[in-house]
Amino acid sequence: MKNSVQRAVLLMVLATGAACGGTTAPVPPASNPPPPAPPPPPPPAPVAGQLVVAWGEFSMGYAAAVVLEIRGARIGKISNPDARLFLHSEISADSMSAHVVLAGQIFTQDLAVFDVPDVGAITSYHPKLIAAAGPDGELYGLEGYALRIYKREP
Amino acid sequence: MRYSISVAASLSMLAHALPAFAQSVSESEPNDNPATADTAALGDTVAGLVGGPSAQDSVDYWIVYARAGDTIFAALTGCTNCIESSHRIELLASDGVTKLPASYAYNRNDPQLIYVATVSGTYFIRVTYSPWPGSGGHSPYTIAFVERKCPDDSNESNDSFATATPIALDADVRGRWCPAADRDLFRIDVPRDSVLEFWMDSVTSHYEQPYLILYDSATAWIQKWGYYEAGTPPPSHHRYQLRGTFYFEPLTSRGGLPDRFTLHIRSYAAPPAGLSLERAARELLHPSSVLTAEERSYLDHLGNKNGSYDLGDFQVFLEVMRP
Repeated sequence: MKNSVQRAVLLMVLATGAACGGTTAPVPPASNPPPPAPPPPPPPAPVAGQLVVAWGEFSMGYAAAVVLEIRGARIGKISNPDARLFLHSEISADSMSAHVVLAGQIFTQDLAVFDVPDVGAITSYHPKLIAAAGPDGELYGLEGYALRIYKREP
Repeated sequence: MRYSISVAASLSMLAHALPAFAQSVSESEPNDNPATADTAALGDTVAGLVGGPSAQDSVDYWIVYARAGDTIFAALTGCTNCIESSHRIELLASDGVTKLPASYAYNRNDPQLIYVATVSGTYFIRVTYSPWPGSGGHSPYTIAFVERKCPDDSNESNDSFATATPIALDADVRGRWCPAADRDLFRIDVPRDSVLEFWMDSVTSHYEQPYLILYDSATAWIQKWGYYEAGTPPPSHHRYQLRGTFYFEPLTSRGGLPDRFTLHIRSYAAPPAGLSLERAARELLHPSSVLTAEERSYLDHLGNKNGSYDLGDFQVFLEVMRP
């Protein structure tokens, strides 16, 4: 009887060890080559549209009149953001820069709207404030002003 | 109900009728009806405390003696700068009931009662107080039984368009709104096309703000500007290109002893022929190449006068050229 019990215990120990697989050699994975990199997406087609020069988010943001400069490629027609204001604009012969005079009590955030051949190139356009004046003709220092450009949604 | 006055009181008031010198008198409660009125004399200054309609002591009575032909002045001071609260003062005949048709002049919110006595005898002054709704408070006051005069104003009387004071094309006019509701109208004649610049200052703004109004020759409104406690929307100077007769009216609904204004007028020649907004704007982008030196000088003189033509001058020119 005792021998039978000992044999049974031995068989259980062996069976347990086999189940743990402690001595089984690993099987190497099948070697698949990495998939080829997808081709880069084609550049988006240029989308012509309008960009807007506006007071920046942290700008003091008020003047009765301003002179602006815009730099960037192929600057097109410049439009008045508010029909109550006076706007005069000039675009350089190579269309790489434009100057804008906007006057008459500017209460809007937008200062100028201009056409571009590709609104996706928005970061290549740079506005600069050249002069600012108050309603009684006083000239303002330019500290504290900031400008930004955003895309006008059609 | 009529009230009789004792001989002693009458003699006392007679003595007060021509006081050797004015006295200060404090009320003695109760003085809530003609029978218990406190006695004063023309020339005196009296002081009291009166409550609102729902408060105790909601009315005070004073009694004065006046001879026929005397002018009774009762100038109350108590709530000069109140907005929703005020004192009221009435003149009653010797029966203590009949209201007499006194006229009133106000120092902002404080009334002055004026009445020429038609008969010699006693007159009652009735004082009440309207507090801020619901407050029910009491308010101290004084009454001076002498005339409260406004300071001299050389522009008076200019209370109508017909009597408007003429002013020059370049002038600084000082005026007063006194007493309250005093109108001040000024006429200006612009014989040839000119640019007129004008502004008003020395103004005390308050809850009911002062205004400056420009009228045309037919006395029709052209524009009105408010002077607010929180600040007045710019520009502070106004400019028009005009010719003919115009009227200015500095206006307030709360005039009084401290309320004054200064109206400034400056005139300029009309813009030179050919000077357009477009040319003036181009000059900003191409300095000294679009406008003549005379045109630049003109625009700077019209504008910020800093010695050179700039964007500020253009902004002023734009205001002038706009209809």
